[in-house]
Amino acid sequence: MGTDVIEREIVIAAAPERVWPLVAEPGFWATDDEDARGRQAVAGESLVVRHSEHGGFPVSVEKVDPPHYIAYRWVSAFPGEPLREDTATLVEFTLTPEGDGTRLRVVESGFGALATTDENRENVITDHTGGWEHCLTVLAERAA
Amino acid sequence: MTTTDRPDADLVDGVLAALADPTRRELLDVLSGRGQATATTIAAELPVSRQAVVKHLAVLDTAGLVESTKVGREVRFSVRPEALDTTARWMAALAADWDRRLGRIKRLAEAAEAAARDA
Repeated sequence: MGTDVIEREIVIAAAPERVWPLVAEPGFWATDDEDARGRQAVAGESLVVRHSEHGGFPVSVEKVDPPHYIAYRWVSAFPGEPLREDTATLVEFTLTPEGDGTRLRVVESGFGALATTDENRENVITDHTGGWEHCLTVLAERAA
Repeated sequence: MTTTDRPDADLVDGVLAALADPTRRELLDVLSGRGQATATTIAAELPVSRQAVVKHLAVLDTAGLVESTKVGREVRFSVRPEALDTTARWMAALAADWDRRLGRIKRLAEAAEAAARDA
């Protein structure tokens, strides 16, 4: 039962070197801040990516191995809260050359370890799903 | 996520927390294989004590993953599939979010590749 992990992948008709700068933009999936576009992740840094409506999402850059692998932690549950084991999920991107293109794989894990103390449990999950819901809308708009 | 998922959010949280423990996942596997089982029967198939099994069953019960029936002096446990189904749908929605995000990366990267080729 792979309950705690989400794994998705896509094949892209572009070299890993072309795909890399896009996934190395910290928190690219959670921001609508066009000024932050193009910035590149540095291992060990922590930052807050901004969304105009939903506030800030803390993101830390865990590991950077260009153009093969990058790992982030992010807090989608509590805008403004610090990153901790029980507030963040791990998001890993792996780029594998495939012909002239790239297989891009994402693994998000750690949902089962999110804070579950009685007083904040309900908040965590409500905010978390709210965050995703919001993200989705934004991405759909941006992609359109 | 869609708004219809939100009422299930607390349930999903409990399920994921409960299933984060590998022994509890194994316990559920044993239980779903047998249909119904007592804590003693389950303990015989797992490398943990009956006492530990009882504790794990309590967590799974709170998460809505198992239910118990009293048959004489025995308490028999069985899997409740509803909570698992709801969680599976929630995870599917998160997976769909990532599909969209990866799709966006694909479009941007392929556009950049095409632009470089044309240049």
